[in-house]
Amino acid sequence: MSRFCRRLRCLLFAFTNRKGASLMTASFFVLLLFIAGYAALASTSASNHHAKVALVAVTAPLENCGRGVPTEKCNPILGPAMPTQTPPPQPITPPGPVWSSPPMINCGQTFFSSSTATALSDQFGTIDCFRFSGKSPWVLVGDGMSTDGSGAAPGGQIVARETCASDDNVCLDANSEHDFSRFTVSYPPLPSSYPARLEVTFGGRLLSISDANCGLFTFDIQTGEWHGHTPAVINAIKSGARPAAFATPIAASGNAAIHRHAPAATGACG
Amino acid sequence: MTFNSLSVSRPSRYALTVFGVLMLMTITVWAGFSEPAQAQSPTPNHYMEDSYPGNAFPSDDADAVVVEGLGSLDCSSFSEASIKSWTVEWTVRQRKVVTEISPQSACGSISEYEILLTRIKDYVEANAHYPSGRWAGFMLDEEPGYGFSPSQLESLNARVEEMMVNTPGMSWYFQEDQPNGWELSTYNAILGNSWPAGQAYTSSMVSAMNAVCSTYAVCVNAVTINSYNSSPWNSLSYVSGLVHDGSPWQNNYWNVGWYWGNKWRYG
Repeated sequence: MSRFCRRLRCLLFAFTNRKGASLMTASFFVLLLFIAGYAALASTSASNHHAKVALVAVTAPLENCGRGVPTEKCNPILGPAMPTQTPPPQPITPPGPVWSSPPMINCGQTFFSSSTATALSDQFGTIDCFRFSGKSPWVLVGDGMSTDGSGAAPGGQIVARETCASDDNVCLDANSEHDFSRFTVSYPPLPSSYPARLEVTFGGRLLSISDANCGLFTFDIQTGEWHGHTPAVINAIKSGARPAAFATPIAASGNAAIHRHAPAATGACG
Repeated sequence: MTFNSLSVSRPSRYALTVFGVLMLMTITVWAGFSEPAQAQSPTPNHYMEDSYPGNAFPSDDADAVVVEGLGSLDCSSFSEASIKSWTVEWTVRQRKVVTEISPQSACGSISEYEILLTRIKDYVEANAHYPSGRWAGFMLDEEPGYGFSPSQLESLNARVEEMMVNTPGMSWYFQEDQPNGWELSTYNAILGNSWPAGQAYTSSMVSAMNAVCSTYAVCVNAVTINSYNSSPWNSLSYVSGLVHDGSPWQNNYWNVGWYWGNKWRYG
C-alpha cells in the first residue's frame, strides 16, 4: 500500500513539472480518444452488448429493435405480461398433414466433380440436389438465374433426374461421384424465366415450383410432366389419376443440356 | 529524496508508462474500425425453420417454426385456414412461430395480399396463446421474379407496418428477400422497417447483404440459408461467417442472448 502511495505521489509530481504538464495534456486527449472509440465500437456491435450496457447502465437503455422498428417490439418490459391462464379453445381444428414427403437426402460434397458442379452452376444457376429417402431418383433443380443475380442463366431453369436401380448402392450414395450425362433434363413451359424456386414437395413425388412471375407449377418426378398448381391437381395425382399436363420443351440428356441454350418457350404461364 | 530527483528521473517513467498504456488501449480500440469484421458477430446460436401446416416441428435443433404459407390466395398450395390455425397451434404448444407468405402476382394482387395478411393477423391475435411473446409476425418472401414491382412491394410493406405496429408485443415482420435481384437502393427501400432475413444462397446474395449494411447501415439480419444448397452453403455457420459487419437478429421476447438465423426447407 505504501509503495502504491509513493508511486501515485511520484506520478502527481511528474505531472506538475513542465515536461509532466505536457505529458498530462497528451494523456488527457488520448484518454478522451479511448473513451470515444470504446463507446462507438460498443454501439456498433451486438457482441459488445454487455459493454454498452455497462457504459450506460445508469440510464437502463432499451434494446434497439432495428431500423424504424418500434421499441416495444423487442423489449418485453414494454409489452403485455405473459398470461397465466390455459390456452383458449381452438375455433378451427388444425387440418392434418398434407401429402407429406419422406425426408430428403442432400447430394454430398463429392456428388459431382468440382468441374461439373461449376459447369452446372454456370449453366443453370443455383442448384438444389437431393433425393427422397426410400426413393430412387436423384433430383437436381436449377433456378435458371445466373449466380451473380445479373440475369438468366444460359441453360435456363431445369429439373433433372437420375434414376438408380434399387440395388445400385453406388448410385444411391450421396457422396459417390455422379455423371450428369446420366440425368434426364426437363424444362418448364418457359425455360428462360427466372428464378425458379422449389417451394413445396408432396408425397416424395411432386415438386411445387414457383416459376418467376408465372406462378406455381407442379412437376411430377415420376412422369416428368408439368402440371398446374391447384389442390385438385395434387389430389388427382395422389389418387392415381393423370391430369392433363402442360406442353413443354422436349426433355434432353444431361450431356446435351449442359452445352446448349435454354429451349424456346412452349406456352404461357401456368 | 529531493523534488528534482523525483521530477527528472523515476516519476517520468511512471508518467510515460501511463501515457503508453493509454495510447495502446486507444490504438487497440480504434483498430476495431480499421479491420472489417469477418463474420456476423456474435455467431447465430439458434435458428427458425420452415414447416408445412400440419407437419411436425421442423427438427430437434430448431427453436422456432416458420409456418409455410406458400400459395395462399389462388395459387393455393396451403389453405388460408391451415396457415392461420397452425400458426395458432404452435403458440398453444408454446413454440416460437412466424408465418410465411410469398406474395406473387400470379396468385393475387397487392390489395388481396394486404387483406389476406390482415385476416391472418386478426385471427392469430384473437386466438393464439400469448401472441405478443410467441408470434414474431410474418415472414414475407419478396423476390423480383415474383411479379410485383418494387413500388408495389414497398406499398405492401408499408401497409404491413401500419397493421403490425398496433399488435401488442413483438409481432412484426421479416423479409426473406432475394437481395441481389434489385439495385441496392431499391433493395434498401423495399426492406423498409422490416427485420431483414435475406436469402444467402450464393456469394452474390451475400455481397448484396453486406453492401446494404455498409451503405445503408442495415446490418442486423436473420440470415436465411437453403438447407438443400450444396455444401458448404447449407451450413448456417459457414454462411453467417461470410456476412461481414453485421449481427444476427435477436429479440428479448425470444430470450436474451439468443441470436437467430433462418433455415429454409420443404416439409
